[in-house]
Amino acid sequence: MKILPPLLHIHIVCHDGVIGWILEKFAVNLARELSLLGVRSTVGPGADPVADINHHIGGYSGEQKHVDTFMVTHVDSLKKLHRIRRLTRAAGLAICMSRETMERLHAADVPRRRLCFVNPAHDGVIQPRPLRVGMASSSAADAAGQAALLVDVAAQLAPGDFCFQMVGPGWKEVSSSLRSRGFAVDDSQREFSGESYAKIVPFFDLYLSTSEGENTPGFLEAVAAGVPSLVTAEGYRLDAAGAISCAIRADPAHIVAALNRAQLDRQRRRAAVASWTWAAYAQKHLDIWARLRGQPFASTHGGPDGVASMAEAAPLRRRDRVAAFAYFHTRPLTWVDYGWTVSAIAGRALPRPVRRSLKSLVKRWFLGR
Amino acid sequence: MNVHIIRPVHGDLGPWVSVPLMLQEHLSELGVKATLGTVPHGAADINHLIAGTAGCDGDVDTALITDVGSADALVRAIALIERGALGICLSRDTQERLRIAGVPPAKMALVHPAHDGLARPRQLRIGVTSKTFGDGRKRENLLVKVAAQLDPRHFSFEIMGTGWAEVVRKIERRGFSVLHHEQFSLEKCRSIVPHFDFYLYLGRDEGSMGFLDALAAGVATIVTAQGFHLDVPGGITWPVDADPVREIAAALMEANRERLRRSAAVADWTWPSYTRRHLELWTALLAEMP
Repeated sequence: MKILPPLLHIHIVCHDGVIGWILEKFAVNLARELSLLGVRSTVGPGADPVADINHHIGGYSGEQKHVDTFMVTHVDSLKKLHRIRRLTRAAGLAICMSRETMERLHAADVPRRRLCFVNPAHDGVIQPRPLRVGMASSSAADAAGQAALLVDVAAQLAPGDFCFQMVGPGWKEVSSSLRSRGFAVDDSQREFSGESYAKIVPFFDLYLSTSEGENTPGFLEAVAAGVPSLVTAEGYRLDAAGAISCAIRADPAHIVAALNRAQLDRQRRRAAVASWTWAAYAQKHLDIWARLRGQPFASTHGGPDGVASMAEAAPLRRRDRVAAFAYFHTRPLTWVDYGWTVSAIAGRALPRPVRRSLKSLVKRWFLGR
Repeated sequence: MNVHIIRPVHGDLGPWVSVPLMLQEHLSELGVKATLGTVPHGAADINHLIAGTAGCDGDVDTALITDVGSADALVRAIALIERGALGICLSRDTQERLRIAGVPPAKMALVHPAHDGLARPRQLRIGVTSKTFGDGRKRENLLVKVAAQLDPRHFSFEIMGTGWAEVVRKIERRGFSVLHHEQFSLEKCRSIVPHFDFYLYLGRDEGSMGFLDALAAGVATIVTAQGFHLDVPGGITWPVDADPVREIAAALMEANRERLRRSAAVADWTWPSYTRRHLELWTALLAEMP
């Protein structure tokens, strides 16, 4: 059960520079999800001095006031690094978008206790398309022979995962049966022709034939089109080396297992981001803010980010520091960054008094202060 | 040579219904006179039976033998061969079944079936959903270099986002098909992303939100190994790191290799090849005849 921090008012500062950009979406979605969690949340262009937490998104200039936490992303220059250092020195917690950025900033001397990360979210509206299973039969009798088996197979599949496309005569009844189970079925191609094969077959994700013997029209065309085939290992299909992607038996459980295996990678990918929701994104922030205020919280998402990333890190290794130095000092994107790069590299080789003078000069020349 | 191809009046030729016509057509192209009929022709040099699972009343010189899985079909095939026909099997599997049933190997030959050669591997779709920035952080020009390494017959691009017009023009000039949606729309995204074969991201700016959409759609990803991309366990199918052009091209070619290898397995199973192989058998058969 989630324990919500009491009487928390979160104000999200959405800086002018991010209006209309993806970061504005972060602000809006975060506020929406916080409200759904029962937390009062507001969004505005400036800080709210009476809010419990001011969380800044975008435009983290070092001059900001009321910075409790701020979102950090795309730190690709010394200028941004410098600003983040200044903000964290002024008591703000930098909530990075990835572990990599958090660790890089730590290696670049941003205090680890001022860093954590929360991975972004997706809208959850994009679904995998159903895999297209293609079948072909030369005769109504052949189709009827496969039909009963296919209906048994379909009973064990999810309609969102697969759709079917039949070529040839005799599929009418099985098509109706599959449609009634919620599967999308295209059986409009009743006649065989080279042209129809050329148009249809390459777009199969899988070619399925439960026919035994050598009576498997479409197999050669499917293989010629590079389509993976799930067929019985018989006849000439065995002579085309590597043409059978998965040898099946005319057994529903065996075919279902083969079809599900074919979409395993897709399912794994989908599962990898299943918990990357806006609701989780908001909850992770809420946990961080609650901890900052010494209030009770319960991390329920279990990921490595959020509160879990606020734990003390392992001591920095020299090579991490070198990598961070190299990263920030070899990415000059603007003249300001270039100035910082030159001064930093040259500065390392110079005596300390000269280094100080150089640093002050660079500040005056490039930052005007 | 005068070849007479016999097909049954009754009986189902099944998928082999086009074989007599295709064989006749390709024999004619090779300058061989070929006729079609339902019974053997006494004046023909070769009477070749294409009966599928149906039999034939008269004697023939050669016969297509397929589907001998049932006892009836096996008996019919053996009867044909015992009456003097050379059994031209469609597979080693069928040959082996006949051999086990006692047919001498000398009475059998092997010619694999043919396909029309019209179905070819479709183009794999590489999807990009990001807008470009003036500072070049999306490294969009790398896409042109990647395209230079690829074959336009095997790959196409679909790009959603502003700022890609120049890149699209350059890629199209290389012969690639490119679908470009200038304006981002969530509705469009929902319809196009699940149909990507690969989601590609070249930028080094901590990660792409499109990457998460692609994963939600189960799409394979070719993305820079950086930022929050690294935080998704198993999310990066092919990482892009120090040598992006080479790495991306290698990933795409690797993904395509399996399809091409599969397609190559039957690349020479064509009608001309099928016809030539028959012609060789018939020529040898005629040479042996008294």
